[in-house]
Amino acid sequence: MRPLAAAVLLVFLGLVVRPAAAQAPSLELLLRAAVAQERVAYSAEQLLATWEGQQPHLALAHVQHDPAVGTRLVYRPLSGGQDRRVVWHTADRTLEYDPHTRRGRVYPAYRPQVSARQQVAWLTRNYSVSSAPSRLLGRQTQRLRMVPRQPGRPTVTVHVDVHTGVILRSERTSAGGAAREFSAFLSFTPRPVGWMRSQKLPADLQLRSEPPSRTATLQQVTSAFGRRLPEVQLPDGFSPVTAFLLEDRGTTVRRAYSDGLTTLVVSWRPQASASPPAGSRVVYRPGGPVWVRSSGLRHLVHWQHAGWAITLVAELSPDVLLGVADRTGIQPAPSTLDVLLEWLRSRLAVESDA
Amino acid sequence: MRHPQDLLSGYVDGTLSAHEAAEVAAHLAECPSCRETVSDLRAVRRLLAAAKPPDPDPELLPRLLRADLGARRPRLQLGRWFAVAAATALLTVASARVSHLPPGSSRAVQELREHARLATRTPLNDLGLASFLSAFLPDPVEDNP
Repeated sequence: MRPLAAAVLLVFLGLVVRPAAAQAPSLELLLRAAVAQERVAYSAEQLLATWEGQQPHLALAHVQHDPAVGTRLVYRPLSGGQDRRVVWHTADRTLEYDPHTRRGRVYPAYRPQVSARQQVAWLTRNYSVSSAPSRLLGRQTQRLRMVPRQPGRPTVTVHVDVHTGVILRSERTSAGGAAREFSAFLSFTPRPVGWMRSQKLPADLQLRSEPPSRTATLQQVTSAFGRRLPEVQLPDGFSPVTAFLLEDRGTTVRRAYSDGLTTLVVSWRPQASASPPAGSRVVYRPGGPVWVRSSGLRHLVHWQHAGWAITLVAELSPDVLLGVADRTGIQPAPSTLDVLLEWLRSRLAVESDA
Repeated sequence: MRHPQDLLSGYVDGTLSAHEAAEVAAHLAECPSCRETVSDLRAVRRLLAAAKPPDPDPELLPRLLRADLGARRPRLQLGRWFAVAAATALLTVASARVSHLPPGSSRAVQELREHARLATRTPLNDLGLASFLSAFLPDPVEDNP
């Protein structure tokens, strides 16, 4: 980062966060961590652990990263009997495949519309950051602990390599402490930028292309569906990081939001009646039913409002997400009579078609 | 030979070719730093291999027993069955609104995957972890839009 830009940014962040003087070193390191992937090349061995209730999922990943080329991750699961996977992130697409069968999928990369610096500014508004010196893999690191200022969000601790800004260890713990995710580099070797230029994607892959999403404005979404999207009343501190993403088949529109540290994704689908996600449980709110499904730190809530099925996924507690549904509005469950009339209508439609 | 960082994990796993393994072994004989890395990798594998599996859910046995008893429960008499059916019908009609639960939708997996994919582009998110979550979620079964 150019010294002048860094100075301007730190002054700006200092206005947002008080006391500025005490946090300046952590903020500078956060900024470096936020842009490290764009600037630093390395190879590493990484241990990953996620917990699904009491069930841990463990994997080792061999990571090769080069800002000029992308990131290649080779996963070896250590639990659950899963196969290996290779993931390639390039600037414009991501490939995921099984290295033995050579089968997998490819999809376009999302492009965030906000800068890393903006996200750090949001982070400092929504989390309090404390720091302490630490040492990992024989390297000088700084431990940054980010505690949410509002309930229901995860607490995150990262160890940032002082020389490169790369995060060498990261731990996320849910608000109640029941769910955790952990990643740690077991080895870390900085490389020169461009070191992966000679690496080629295997030529014999059989990849299924997933339908791309196209970015759209709210007006374009309204015109595509013939009506306005209902506004979702998000928790404080979340701002959009993508445009509206309209699925190619035109059945779903999606948008990602961030509070600087956690990601929240909202999906809207025009749908007359609720279709609860598999494996979800129903929670009866004053307005109507909401379906909740948990997956480690992430929770999904799904409900019906104004003729739309709305789905939220975020690393926020279910209570916070249910509050979003309450504030947005929930369509009541249909009565038995409604269900019967709907069934009769569908029967009549079938007979008249015949 | 330069530090063969990319090969050390394969060396510990025993997945290298004989030629590569011999080259790494020769390097390890001279390089304390790589020996330390290999030692760490072996320690992690030993730790994981020796990890005690989680205790079974204490509710599991009672739940299984209840399921088993449910399966062996004798059939209700016909008259009682009619009474239960009539009461259920009355309750259904009497309740103004009921929960309507159509068949489960597998879109949930797709939504969780989309979340992981979008999270890979968040600057302070762990790329390795977010990609892991996306890559290992099962393919959703196609369902009605």
